[in-house]
Amino acid sequence: MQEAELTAATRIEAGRSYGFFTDTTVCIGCKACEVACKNWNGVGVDGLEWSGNSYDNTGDLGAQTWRHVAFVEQNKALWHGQTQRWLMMSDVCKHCTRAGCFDACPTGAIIRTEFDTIVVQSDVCNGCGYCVMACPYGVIELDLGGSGLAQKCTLCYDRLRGGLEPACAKACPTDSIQFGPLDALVERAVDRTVALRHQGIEDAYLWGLDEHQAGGLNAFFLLVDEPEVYNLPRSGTDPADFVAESAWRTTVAALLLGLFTILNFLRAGHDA
Amino acid sequence: MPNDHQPPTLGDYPTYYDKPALKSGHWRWLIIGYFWAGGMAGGSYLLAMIAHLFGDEADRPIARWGRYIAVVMGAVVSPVLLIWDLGKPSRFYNMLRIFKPRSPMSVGTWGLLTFSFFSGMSAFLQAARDGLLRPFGPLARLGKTLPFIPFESIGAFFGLFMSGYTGVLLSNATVPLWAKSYKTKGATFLSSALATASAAITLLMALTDNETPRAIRRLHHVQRGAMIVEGALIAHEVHHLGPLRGYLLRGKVAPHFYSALLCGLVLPLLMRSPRSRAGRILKALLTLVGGFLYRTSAVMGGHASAEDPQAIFYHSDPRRD
Ligand code: SF4
Ligand code: SF4
Repeated sequence: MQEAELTAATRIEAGRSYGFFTDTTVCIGCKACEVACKNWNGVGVDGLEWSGNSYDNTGDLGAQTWRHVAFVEQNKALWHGQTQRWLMMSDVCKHCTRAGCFDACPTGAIIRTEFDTIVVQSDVCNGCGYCVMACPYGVIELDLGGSGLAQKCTLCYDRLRGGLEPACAKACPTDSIQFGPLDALVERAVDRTVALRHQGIEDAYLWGLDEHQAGGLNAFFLLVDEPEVYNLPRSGTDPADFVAESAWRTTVAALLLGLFTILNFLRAGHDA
Repeated sequence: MPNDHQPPTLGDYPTYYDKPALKSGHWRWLIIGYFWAGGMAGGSYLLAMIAHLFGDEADRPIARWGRYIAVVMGAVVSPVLLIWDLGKPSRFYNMLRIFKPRSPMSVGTWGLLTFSFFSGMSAFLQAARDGLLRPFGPLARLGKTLPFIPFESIGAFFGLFMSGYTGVLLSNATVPLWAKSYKTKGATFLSSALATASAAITLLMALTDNETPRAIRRLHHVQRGAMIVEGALIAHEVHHLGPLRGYLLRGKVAPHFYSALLCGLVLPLLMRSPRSRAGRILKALLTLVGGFLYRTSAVMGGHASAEDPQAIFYHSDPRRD
C-alpha cells in the first residue's frame, strides 16, 4: 500500500497526469507548505527580510521558493455588506501542458515525467537561463547566489516515485492544497466552485484550466478576485509556439538581404 | 480595474505590491556583446563570400578583412562571451547533448559551432595566402591550394544564420517587449548586423591602408541599404509596440535607444561616403557603437517591461485588441 492512499486517497501510478488543485478560499496563510517544501527538497533559506507587504516575506516564486503564499489585504465593497477581507493563496509552478521552460531548454535538462509533471534535472542544466525568460508565470529562476542552475518545484518527483504525495499538499492543514490525478482534481474543483457560488460567493472561479493558459495547467487555482490581484496573468503562452513563424520570416529577410548585397557587387564599378 | 466593455491598458491593472509577474532573466553585457559580435561576424563572412564570388580584383580587401573579422568575432569572441555567461566552461558541453528545433538556444548553439568551423577554414585559407602561415610549412601549402568556394558557398548561409537567429532567440520569450516583435526582430538584427559588418570591414581597410575606391563605395552602398532597412524595421517595431513602446522611448533605456538611432543610423547616413580616411574611420566607429547601443536598448527595454507588472498583465490580456 502506498502512503498516498492514506493521506491523499489516491494511488500514484506512472502514465497518469497528476497535479495540484489549490483552493485559495480555505488557505489560512500558515505557510506550512513553504516550510514543508524547503524541508523536503533542501531548498535554501530566503525571506528573512521584513517586506512590509502583509505577511509575505518570501515575495515571489523563485530559485529558493517553490511554494509561495501571497497575502492580499483588501478594503472594498464585498458580498453580504462586508468591506474587508484577507486573501491568501499558495502559488506554485503550474506544470504547464505547453511548458515554455521545457521547450526553451537547449540541453534537455527539463523533462516531462511519467506523472505528466515538469522537472529540471540539475545534473544536465547548464545555467543558460533561457527557461527563465520562457516561463509565462515567472516561476523558474537561476540560483545565481549558489549553483547558478535553474530551480523550481518538481511536484516532489522523488516522493511521487516512492508513492508519497507532495510535501506541501501533505502538510497543508486545511486541504487548500490538494494533490491527485488531474481528472479527479478537476471534478472536485468544479463541484467546489459550484458549491461556493450557491453559498453566495459568486466571484469564485477556476484559474488555469483553459487552453489559453499554456495549454491548460496541472496546477490550477480557485480564486475569488481578478487573477492580477494574485499576481497571475490572464493568459500564458509558450513562446516556442511562435518560433516557426519567427524563423521563416527571418529566413526570408536573410535571403533578401543576401540578394541585395550580391546585386551591389554585380553592379558595374562605374565609380572606380 | 478593467471591465469587460472597455479594453484595458497599461496602468489599469491591480498588481501584487507592484511586484513583477515574470522573471526577466539575467542577460546583460555578455549576451548583448554576443548579439553584436556574432551578428557582425556573420555579416562579415557573407560580405567576404560575395566579394570573392561576385566582385573583382578591387574587392579583394573586403574578402580578406571580412574573413578575419568573421573568425575573430565569430569563432573566438562569441564563444568566449557565451561560455563566460554560463560561468563554467565545461557546462557548454551540455548544449551538445541534443538538437531541439523548437529551442532557438539549441539551434543557435549548433549554428554557432558550424559557423565557427567555416569561418575558421576561410581564415585559415586567407592566412595561408597572406603568408602568415609560413612557419608551418606543409600546412601553409595546403591552405594555399584549397579553394574558398566550397567552404564559403555553404558557410555564407551560416553567416546569415548567425546574424539573424539572435533576433529569434530574443523575441521568443515571454518578456512583453521582446515577444511583441517576434515577427520582425530577426530581420532587424540581420540588417543591423550587415551594417555593422560593412562598417567593421571599412574600418579595418582604412586602418591597414588596404583599401580601394571601389571597395569603399561598395561597402558604403551595402551599409546604406542595410541601415535604411534597419531604420524602417525599427520604426515599424516601435509603432507595433503600442503602449509598450514607453519602455523604449521613456525611462532608463531611452538614452540608449536614442543614441543608438543617432550613432547607428542618422549620423552615418548623413555622413554619406566620407572622402577622408579619418571620416571613414569615424563613420565606421559610429556605426559599430550604434549597433551595440541598439542591442543594449532591445535587451534592457525587455527587462524594463518584464519588471513592470502592468506590461505583463497588459500583454497577456486576451481582451486587448
Ligand atoms: S509554470 Fe513556468 S516553470 Fe512551471 S512548467 Fe510552466 S513554464 Fe515551466
Ligand atoms: S538554465 Fe538549465 S534548465 Fe534552463 S534552459 Fe538553460 S539548460 Fe535548460
